[in-house]
Amino acid sequence: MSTIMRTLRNLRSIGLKEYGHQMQYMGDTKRGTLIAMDKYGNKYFENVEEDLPLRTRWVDYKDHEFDPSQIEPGWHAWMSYMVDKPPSQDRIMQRQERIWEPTAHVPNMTASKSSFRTYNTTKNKYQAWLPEAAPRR
Amino acid sequence: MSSSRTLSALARSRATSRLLTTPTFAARTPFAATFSTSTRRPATSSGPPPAGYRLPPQPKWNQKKESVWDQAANYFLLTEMARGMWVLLEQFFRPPYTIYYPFEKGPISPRFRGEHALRRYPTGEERCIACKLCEAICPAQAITIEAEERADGSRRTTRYDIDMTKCIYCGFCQESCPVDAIVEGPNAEYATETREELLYNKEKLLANGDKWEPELAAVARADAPYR
Repeated sequence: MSTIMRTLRNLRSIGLKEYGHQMQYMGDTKRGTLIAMDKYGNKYFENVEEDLPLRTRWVDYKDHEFDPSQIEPGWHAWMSYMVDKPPSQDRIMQRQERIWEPTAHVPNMTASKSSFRTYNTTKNKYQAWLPEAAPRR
Repeated sequence: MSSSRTLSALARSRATSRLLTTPTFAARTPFAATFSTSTRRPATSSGPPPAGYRLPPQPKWNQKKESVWDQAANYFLLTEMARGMWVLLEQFFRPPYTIYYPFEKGPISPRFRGEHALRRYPTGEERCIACKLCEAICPAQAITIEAEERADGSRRTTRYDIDMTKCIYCGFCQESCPVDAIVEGPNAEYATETREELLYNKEKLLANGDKWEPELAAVARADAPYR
């Protein structure tokens, strides 16, 4: 919950539909400019005139089951106030610049069938003993 | 007693004997000043605390000023509850102090030490040359490395395991790395459901590096003027 005046001001600015969307997911109303949408589909907003500190940048998740690991690398840095420019304006943080980068963003897949299971990357140094009897003469 | 006399004589002969010349004090306890050299320090940096800084002792039930009728009325009309709920109502209409975390995030330094990653050169060649410096310096002994000669004759790792449940995130591995292969990236959102998912092997670390390379490059650029 926020102050009534702030809520009404933001409601007038963003409209009823976006108001309902934000109250459903975030539980607070925010207004600002859309910076960009990443390849995953999340939308990133900024409002530098926000009177509350550290609430100037926020994300509108694509998925209903939102998770902070769905934020793409690069946008994660921008969301964490690590860089000034968003990745859409900074080439070093854009993805698929290098050919060996993965094409699709994979969020944290824990507690699912796709979760990481470790395995051995080397050959075994010993094998199980296979008994071979010499032929009887 | 003779020992105290020799001690005070010794104290007077020292260069700090000027401290002993407080007349009333030195007469009674001759060597007290040599042992308590500290001065009185006030409770706050500006001096003694102002009036009302500490709560006064609460009056007992038989010391209260108000009449028994006022006390009974306050008790039965729940006036303290009403005052507490008024405080709550004031808080309710205040702007929130908190960050709405999954939508907004707190600041992270470029030197943040989070999830590990193995980086590559721009050509796609992996950087790690299996020098095992990180394995040697790791205070938690979380890193295991095995090396072999690759088909083209270069020295590479066949096993690079990090037990993330052992790791203490000290950052010694990335500081010891001569080729900037192992880094601790800015990602901290890799919480898992089971411990087994945190036993990272080489493929997982390389995949981390490939995934986070845009941000690792930005971090290296931000920290470069200070290195």
